[in-house]
Amino acid sequence: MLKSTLILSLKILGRRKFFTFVSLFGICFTLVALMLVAAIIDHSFAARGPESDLDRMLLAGRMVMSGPRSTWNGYAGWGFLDRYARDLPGVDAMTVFSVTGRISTFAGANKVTLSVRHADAEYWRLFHFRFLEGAPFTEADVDEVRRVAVINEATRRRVFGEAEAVGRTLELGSERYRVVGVVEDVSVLRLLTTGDVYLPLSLRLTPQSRARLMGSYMAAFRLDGSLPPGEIQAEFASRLEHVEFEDPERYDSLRGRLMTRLDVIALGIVGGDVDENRTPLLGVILAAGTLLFMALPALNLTNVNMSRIFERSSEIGVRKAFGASARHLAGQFLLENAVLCVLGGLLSYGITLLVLDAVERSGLIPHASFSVEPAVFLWGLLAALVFSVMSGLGPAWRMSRLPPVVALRGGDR
Amino acid sequence: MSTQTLPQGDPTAPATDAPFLRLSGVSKVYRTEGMETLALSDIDLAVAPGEFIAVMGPSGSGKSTLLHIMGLLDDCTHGRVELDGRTMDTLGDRALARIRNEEIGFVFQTFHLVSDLKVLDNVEIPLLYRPGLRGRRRAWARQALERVGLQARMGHFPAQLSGGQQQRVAIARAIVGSPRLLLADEPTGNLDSTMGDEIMAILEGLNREQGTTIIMVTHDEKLARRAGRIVRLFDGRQVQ
Ligand SMILES: Nc1ncnc2c1ncn2[C@@H]1O[C@H](COP(=O)(O)OP(=O)(O)OP(=O)(O)O)[C@@H](O)[C@H]1O
Ligand SMILES: [Mg+2]
Repeated sequence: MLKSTLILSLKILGRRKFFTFVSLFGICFTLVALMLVAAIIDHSFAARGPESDLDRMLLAGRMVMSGPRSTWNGYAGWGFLDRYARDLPGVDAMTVFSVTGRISTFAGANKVTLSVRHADAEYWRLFHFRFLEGAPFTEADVDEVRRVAVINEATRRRVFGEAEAVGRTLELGSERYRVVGVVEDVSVLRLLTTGDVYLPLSLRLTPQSRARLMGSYMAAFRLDGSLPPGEIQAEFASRLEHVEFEDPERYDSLRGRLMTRLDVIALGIVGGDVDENRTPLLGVILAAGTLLFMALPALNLTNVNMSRIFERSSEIGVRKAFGASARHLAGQFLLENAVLCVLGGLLSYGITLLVLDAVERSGLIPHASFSVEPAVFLWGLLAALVFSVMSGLGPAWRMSRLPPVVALRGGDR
Repeated sequence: MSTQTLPQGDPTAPATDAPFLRLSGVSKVYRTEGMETLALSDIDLAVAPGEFIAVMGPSGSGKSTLLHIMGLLDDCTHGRVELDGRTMDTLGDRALARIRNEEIGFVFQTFHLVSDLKVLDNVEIPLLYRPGLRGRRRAWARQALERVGLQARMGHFPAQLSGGQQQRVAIARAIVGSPRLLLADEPTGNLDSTMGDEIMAILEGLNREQGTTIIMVTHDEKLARRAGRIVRLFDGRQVQ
């Protein structure tokens, strides 16, 4: 009986092309949007690739220095990080690295602009890059201020063609660097690790900049798990209280926070001050946005399902007249909805992969490589199923409880 | 409350049997937007197994309403419906569904074919809800269609058929499950007299050979006289 009911459902869906189309469209729209957002979040924020230890890291970066007359909103300086952020309790490793800057160079006759990051040797131990050639620069390279560079795959291709790059010379501006390693590309959405060229941090530090409280540096701290992050953050905050200022007439306070990656994102999206915790607010905004966004297609689906019930009340009446019980009819509608959802789900999966592939190819987000988590797909499918069943089953159930001729007339008693 | 006198000398209606279907004091009131219509008023009727009854009466006299109530397709406002000695108004949805499925075949005045399903699928509907028929449904549906002379139209959709052909599909659907009680609301209403005669012959065949109890609404005095008994309605009241 299940088989013949299923065949019948498919026949009716095939006949009701418009309804089927609208339903599928609604389901696909919801699912594709859900999977795209999930893929982008996963791609940007999940602990994976070089940032696979992200979950047990805290980050310092954005700082505000202020005084009686001026405020400096920017990133931490080497001086601050080196003097005040080292040896935090509960931290087993720390790296200091710059935000990326852009430098142009020539590859043959072509000018290429590269994004350049300076980092210490610890950087390569905290972030797990995959090396295609060579190796990271070493502590000795950093201490001796050697002109060496790690480049990414895309830069190797653009500057050196398909040939091996280790040992060759990379010209940046007026300087020449020896390439010591080539790493896999990292998406530009990965703010801590994206880059075309990585140079020893010492190349950038002058005696003056070594002392500065503000600059263009970030630091990542890997926790050893012995202390809750809150205590480490508190220690960092108390150290900020004791910062010595060179010229207290100009600046006399420094503010900032040790943040998780989520805090960094929240600060970037929601805004606010560097020492405020905006993560709960981001959570609320994201949840509200998702709800609103899911509500639209769900309402659409409900609407379609409702109008369809009245359209199909005569069919319900006929089936009842010839021996269908309310249960039979509910079963049939469940089955139909399930068929629609599974069809819509498969379709959405395909569409999502196509869209992500197109985004990757378009170069809109350089070095991006997306993937769809099967779990996200399955949860989305389940959500769609619940939505469509909730929207379709209620009216169908009510209709199928009526005497057959009442249903045949369209339900008005 | 008097028991119906069964027609004398009719071999198809064994007058001694206990009633197969009995209506007692049945009334039906339709309520629409503050207006009340009394469609049936205090109907008493006993139908013996194997009877062939014609229901006649002017338009609006309650014939369809009566058939719906006998077919368990609608509730009555007052009164009682009994089938095989069982009172129907206390039964739940599943029990009613089962009786509709196994005991009753219904031909609607306006056919009520499912427009999204082909003729063969329409005829198969009653069999879908009958367990244990795996693999035999198609064959039964084909036989029923052959019986009404529509074997050539099985793959059509209802909208692609003439009124008379649709009516015959509706008859095939009503008889496909070999019900004990066949209720037909003007089954010959859309047919010419030859076709009408053929349908009448089919009904008489079922009645004679399988003992199917048949209650048929008709406006045709000639056809009605071929039935064993005529029930006449006027303004919701039984006048004969
Ligand atoms: N759903 C309804 N709502 C309100 N009144 C109704 C409804 N169905 C039927 N009626 C009324 O009940 C009365 C009996 O209707 P019914 O359909 O039983 O008549 P009928 O004898 O079958 O007529 P016809 O020969 O035209 O088919 C009519 O007055 C009709 O207007
Ligand atoms: Mg009628």
